[in-house]
Amino acid sequence: MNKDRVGLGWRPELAAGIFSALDKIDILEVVGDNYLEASRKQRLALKLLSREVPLHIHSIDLGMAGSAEVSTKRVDRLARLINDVEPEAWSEHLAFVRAGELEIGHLAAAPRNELSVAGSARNLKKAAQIIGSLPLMENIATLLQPPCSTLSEQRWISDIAAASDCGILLDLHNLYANAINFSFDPLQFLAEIPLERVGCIHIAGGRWIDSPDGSKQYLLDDHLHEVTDPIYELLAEVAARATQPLTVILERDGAYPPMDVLLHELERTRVALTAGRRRNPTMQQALAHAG
Amino acid sequence: MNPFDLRGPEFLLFYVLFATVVLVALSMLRRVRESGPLPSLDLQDPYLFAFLNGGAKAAVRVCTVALVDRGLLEISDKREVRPHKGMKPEAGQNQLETEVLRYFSGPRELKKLYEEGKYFSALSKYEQTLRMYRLLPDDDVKRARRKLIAFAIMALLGVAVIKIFVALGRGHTNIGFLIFLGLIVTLLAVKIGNPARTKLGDAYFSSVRSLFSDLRGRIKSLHSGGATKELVWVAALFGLASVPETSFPFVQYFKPPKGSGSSSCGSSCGSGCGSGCGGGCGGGCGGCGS
Amino acid sequence: MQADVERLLAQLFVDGELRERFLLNPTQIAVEFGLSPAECEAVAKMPTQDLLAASRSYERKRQGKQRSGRLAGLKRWTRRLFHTN
Repeated sequence: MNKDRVGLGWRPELAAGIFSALDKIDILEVVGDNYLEASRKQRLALKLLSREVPLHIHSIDLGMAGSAEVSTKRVDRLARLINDVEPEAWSEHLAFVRAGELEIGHLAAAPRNELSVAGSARNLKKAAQIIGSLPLMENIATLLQPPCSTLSEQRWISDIAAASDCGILLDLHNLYANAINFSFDPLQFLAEIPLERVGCIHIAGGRWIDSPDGSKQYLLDDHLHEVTDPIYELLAEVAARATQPLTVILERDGAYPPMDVLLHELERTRVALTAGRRRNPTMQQALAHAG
Repeated sequence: MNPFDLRGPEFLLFYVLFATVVLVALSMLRRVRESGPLPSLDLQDPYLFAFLNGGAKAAVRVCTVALVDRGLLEISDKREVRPHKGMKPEAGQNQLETEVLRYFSGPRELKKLYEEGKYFSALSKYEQTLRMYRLLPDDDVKRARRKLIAFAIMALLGVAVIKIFVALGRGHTNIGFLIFLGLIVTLLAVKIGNPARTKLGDAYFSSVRSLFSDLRGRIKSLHSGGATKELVWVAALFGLASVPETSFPFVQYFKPPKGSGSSSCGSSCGSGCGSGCGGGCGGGCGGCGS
Repeated sequence: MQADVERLLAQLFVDGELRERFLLNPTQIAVEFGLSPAECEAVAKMPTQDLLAASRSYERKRQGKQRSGRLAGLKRWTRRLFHTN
């Protein structure tokens, strides 16, 4: 079995630190939207990077889970980038980001029902035809449960994955934040999604914020803080249940600590994966056979 | 129409246009011959890129800057480098650092390093690697360049010489400017035809540089002693001129002396002027909330 | 229709004035957006604080994007003008 991998989001601010620690980083993830207008030289640079370390391209702006058909123009632009950079894989989000010409500004949870399952699957098929491969689709965090939903989030994700045959990018902090904010058990969530489809995992940190009237608190997924213990525990749990190799990417988008701190987080990630694998019955069997 | 029949000023204009065409053709032919797929180099070694940027001198200079910032060496306002107390050459993180630390096991002038350091074996390895990947010209490339330059010079000087003979034959002796122009374009042909890096080297170098363009802007917010990696990459890719002396005061001693300089670090500079990383504006997806 | 629900949600996230009117009379606004009776009922049940918190978060994201978009635009223009990069 190929081994688990641990990596980091590529951020230009971290370039020097990342270059100096490439031997400790198994994979890098580039936010594709930052390079859609990039010059040829910058794309060449990403391609260079992809030769040294496996690269994923992570897109934000397509709005795949909306009822609207995904824009051909937007997918084409992303396709050109993917074609130039030749990443190992690409990913997007199970979210909508606009309605008509109106831009929300970020990822919003679409109503989770059979219509959006069908719409997402259609968009995924279209994107795969243009780009040449299916993306891994990421679960998002939301501060507002989408109305007009008839399916649970885990059922919705499972149905989309089954209808489109796409892989899942499991964001553990998004899962954890939603579980905290809407009072459900993240372990139950893990039990109800097709873990065998998880091709990549995101971990990140967040912070607590107050509601506008101060009556409640939300855990906000802001990617500006260290990863906390519950996330590593969830990661170990996934490692204990999944049989395929796992790729885990640490997302940090600002308030950057020294590189040593980020490398320490990567090390903690490896420890969590190892701990989980030790509890994994399939792994134990494989080891017993090998032994 | 015979261009050699053109009068003085008209011929000079023709010659300038002709030289432009020849020099552009020289550059394009060199581009075609020296291009190729980008190689895969060790991206973890900034000194390799310093060498690609400015040769052996640049590599040892950036290396020494790094070692001063890490507190292993100190540099005085007289540009004398000495080891920090207790420094061991084994503290070097790669071969070049070890060689530089060994070189400065006692106090020495920085300029001596530039003269004698070019014989460090780490630098020969860098040069070999860069030639092997054709980022610096190897023997084949140099041979091809010599041919191209020779053809270009023959064309440029040939046209000038023919015109000089025609002019002299018709009793015109005002050929001084044409001779001057001929020399200038010959020098340009040599410069365009034989730069330090190959076209592939230029493409590779500028690609790697573009990965760090954000850091170049951020370096002002970093400080000596806590951001050595960032300092080294900026110095290696963009040159020491890009490193602000306000953030890294000792860097001034690695630059050519000014008329009268005053150092904010006193007579001797090591690192330890504070540390800290500046914040970035974030290039990630920003999470699902803010 | 699903598209109408998304359109309403998007508008609520972006338009503060509409949001205020919605919070006063959600059903009326939902009807204006063409939602079915069942959809109107569902959106009317959205927790106010969740909606406001989400809207605030999206507003910050949009502001951040505008700032970085202006900077990126300036960099692109400079690059094209001076043929750098």
